[in-house]
Amino acid sequence: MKRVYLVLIVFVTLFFISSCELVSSTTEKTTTENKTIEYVGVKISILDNFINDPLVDYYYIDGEKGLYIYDVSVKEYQDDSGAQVIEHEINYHLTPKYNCFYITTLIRENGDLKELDSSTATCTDFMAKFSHSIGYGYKDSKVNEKIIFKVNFSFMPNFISYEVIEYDQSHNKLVSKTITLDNISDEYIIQQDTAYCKIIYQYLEGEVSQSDVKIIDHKDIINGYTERFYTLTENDERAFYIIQFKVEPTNS
Amino acid sequence: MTKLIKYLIFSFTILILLGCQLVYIDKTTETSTNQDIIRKPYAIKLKLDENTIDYYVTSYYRGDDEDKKFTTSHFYSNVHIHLIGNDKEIITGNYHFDMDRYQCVILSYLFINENDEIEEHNPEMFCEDQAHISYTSNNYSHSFTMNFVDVDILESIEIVEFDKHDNKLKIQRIDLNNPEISVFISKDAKDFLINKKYIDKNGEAYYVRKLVNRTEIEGLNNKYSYYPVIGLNQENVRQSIVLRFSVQNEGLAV
Repeated sequence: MKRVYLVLIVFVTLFFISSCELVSSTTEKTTTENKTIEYVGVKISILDNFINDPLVDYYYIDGEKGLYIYDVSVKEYQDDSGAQVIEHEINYHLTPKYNCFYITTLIRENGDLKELDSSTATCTDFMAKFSHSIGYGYKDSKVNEKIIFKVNFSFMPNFISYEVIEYDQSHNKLVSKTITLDNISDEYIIQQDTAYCKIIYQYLEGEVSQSDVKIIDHKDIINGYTERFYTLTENDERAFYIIQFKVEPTNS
Repeated sequence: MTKLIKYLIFSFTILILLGCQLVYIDKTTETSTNQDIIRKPYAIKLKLDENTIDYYVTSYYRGDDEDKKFTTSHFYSNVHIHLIGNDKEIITGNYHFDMDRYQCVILSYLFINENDEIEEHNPEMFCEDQAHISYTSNNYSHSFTMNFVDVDILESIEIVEFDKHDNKLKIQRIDLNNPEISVFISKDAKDFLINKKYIDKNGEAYYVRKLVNRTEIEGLNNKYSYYPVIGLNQENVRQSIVLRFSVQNEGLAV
């Protein structure tokens, strides 16, 4: 009888030990699997209403980005759960023709670049603004971090003009010049004694006239400041102009 | 034999249930004991050297003006406070100091004990561009993250008003010896420039400029009723000057 007791106790103990091991090994596997995934960026696809032939741009967290991504900001903060979040906010333009969009996460898994999951394609009426976000948490027990890709979509503006007003160190207006599509060139020369300039960018958002103002220092221009203006063409295609700002050369 | 197996299974089940109950009772007792001694940090101490110490008083104690042991210093900017009920506070922002002079900052939480004395907990040293400390008790957590921003000598502040044709209308030069100054902007001004001139450690001048549309300081939605400017004075001492903007004759000057 005692033998039967012993055999049963051994069996029950073995059962508990093996189930514990199973649980432990499964957890380790998940952790190892998650560790190998690295979120490297996002692919932005815009399409026409027939959902074919998408125009594609890529954004990588190392700073490399497509030409039609017009603004990026990266924020770091802690969320409600205490996780350290890195949020990449990417601004992108739709056009009246290409008014549908979706985003796809790019990952590197065991060294290979792959596409993870995509948001569903969304179409929007003219002038509506949309945001799509995809967020991931690193599930390593030691690292409580999240990465979020937030893409804001708005419609491409119609460029009207940009005006450059130059000031000296005493804030006297030296000169001002307005550039439209008729006289636009790929560089803008400021005077040597210009301390700073106001750049007033005027554009149409739908039917509404808007303007943005920037202050640019002489030093920024010496350091190779460039401005990029986006616009819709007459055929509703996308276009942009890159303007290199320079200081006029000395006579000597 | 079947009886014996049934007996054994029954005994095991009883034992496991008893064990689980014991663990549960133990945990509940522990939690209720800890809940009784939940403590919230009074302030965060940021120490640059023995004579240069800043404090940040947490929101939980901010209202107790009469019995304040410390006040929050002016050398923070872009502070974002995220409060979740009474149990959680997350603070992020910028902390300004002379990074050429001080290579590291020591951060610590300060608590008030039963005898109304200050207790300092676990000082940590940070020598990179950011500091982060956190405190967690059973039902309460606090997190404090500051990005470090270097401060140079502040040479001058000018407020330049422009008319609707972008011509200079008026210049006001700010007295840097006054810690708080009201600045009145003319009604005719379309916008104005806050023109700050700094001198870096190599003696080179540089400007930090901010253009503000007059509409941004009009009425009750004045975004510039509190605008701190941080810099070193000519004696290399860190100082903060608060500018309070309002529209002239609007009657809303603070």
